[in-house]
Amino acid sequence: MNDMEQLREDVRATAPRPRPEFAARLERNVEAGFKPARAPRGERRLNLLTPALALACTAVVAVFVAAVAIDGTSGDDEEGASGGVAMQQSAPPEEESGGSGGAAPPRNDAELRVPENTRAFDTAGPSTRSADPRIRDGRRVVEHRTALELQTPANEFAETTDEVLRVADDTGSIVQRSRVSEREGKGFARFDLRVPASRLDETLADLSRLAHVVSRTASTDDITRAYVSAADRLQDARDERRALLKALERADTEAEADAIRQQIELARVRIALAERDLGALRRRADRAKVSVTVRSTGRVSEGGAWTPGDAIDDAGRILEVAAGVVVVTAAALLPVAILAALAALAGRSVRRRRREAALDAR
Amino acid sequence: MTVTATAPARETAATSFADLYRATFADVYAYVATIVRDRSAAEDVTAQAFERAYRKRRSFDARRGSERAWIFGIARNAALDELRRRRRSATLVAEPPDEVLVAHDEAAVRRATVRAALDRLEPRDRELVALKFHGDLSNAEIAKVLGMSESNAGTRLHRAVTKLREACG
Repeated sequence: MNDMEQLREDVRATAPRPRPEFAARLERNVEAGFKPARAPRGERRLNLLTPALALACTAVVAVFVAAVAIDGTSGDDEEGASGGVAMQQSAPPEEESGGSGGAAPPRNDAELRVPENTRAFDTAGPSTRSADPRIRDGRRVVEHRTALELQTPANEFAETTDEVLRVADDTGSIVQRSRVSEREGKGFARFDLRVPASRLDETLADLSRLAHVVSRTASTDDITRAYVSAADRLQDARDERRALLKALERADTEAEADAIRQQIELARVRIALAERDLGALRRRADRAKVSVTVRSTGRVSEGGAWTPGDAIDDAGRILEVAAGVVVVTAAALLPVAILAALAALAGRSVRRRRREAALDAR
Repeated sequence: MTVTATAPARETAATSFADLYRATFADVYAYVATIVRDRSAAEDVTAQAFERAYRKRRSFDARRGSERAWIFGIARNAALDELRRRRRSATLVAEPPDEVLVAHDEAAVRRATVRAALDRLEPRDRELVALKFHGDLSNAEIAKVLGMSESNAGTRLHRAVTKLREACG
């Protein structure tokens, strides 16, 4: 036996040996498979709830994804073609000036139509001497504009344009201008309507039901300042005419009376101009501008039945959206995962150093 | 001097956890006791190490090292955690001598000398000796347990054994 083997034998001979009772106890534990310690009640409940919560979250996400995906294809069902036209906002129509005699009114563009109950603002309006009830209560005078673009299958184009006119008649709207053209199965129609402001929502709802809505843009023009200005000018002109009439009664000479009559004539002209401006502004506030464009897709509708092809399209869309959700989630979680990994590495390194330090400290 | 690995104990194929336990229990206990130097703490740590190993047994990957190195790694972490927790440096108490020291018994004298020499070693050197001689681990396995390269482990082990031999006179 050489030195090394001798040393090895001697060191092994000095090895601490476990007590037999400890060895027997641990042997029993090993045989029993180390019975798991019973977790506290709250922890057990959490453990039981965790899979259920995970399942519920997964179900919610799945329903959301399916809803988004199917909603995105609902318009395609109506036109019978998967044109992939999504709801989008187009540029608002060209704005007119804010009214004669007044400064340019502030514009308030809304992405979607403005609800009826927000047309009259509660904020204090400009002060006015006018007795006009529109502005007496400090409410705003606004003009509404809406541009609606509809898309319809070629075989439903004529019917849709007829329906636009029927809706206009039913809601008391005025068709200011209309243009319909159809060539080689592709149609285009444009209707400029003036719709009673009080029936704007109803009219837009009816029009939106006629075909697939490609875009719908709403904006409002606040014409309060122009309106107040015209009303004040009208009031001033009337007051002036009244004063001139009184002055005419008191005129002593014919020459003085002629001069006052000329001024009365000028005041009358000013009254007429102010009334014209005020009337125009009233009409703008009372009648909303609705521009309806109808385009045919050039495809023929296949009817409303949900076919296997539609099912495949829907399934594809669901997968597409689900993949998008996965990508977005991954993008959001990636930095978190990197930070967590770095923290785990740092924690591991610190733990290791502390362990080693414990050995050195002995 | 080159320290080579001889490991008859691990030749026993540990086909189940119970087999692994039986093949390594005494060596793991000896190694843990060498680190913590307290019998009751050594028992706690040894039991804890085997329980941890049992719970993690499915995560064992043979490509990353032997089962023996794996169980010693777990035992080492448990022992160092115990040291950190207890922060005490009690010597191994009530460890009964294996044989009665008789003046004429050359082997007994030699082992008493080795025990005293081991006590004088630095903790890290003592741990290396324990891994090598109590644990019967190869240099590669020791490197795995200590988280260092095999050559580094071999060099350190060589130094530790040299110190032990010098301390034995």
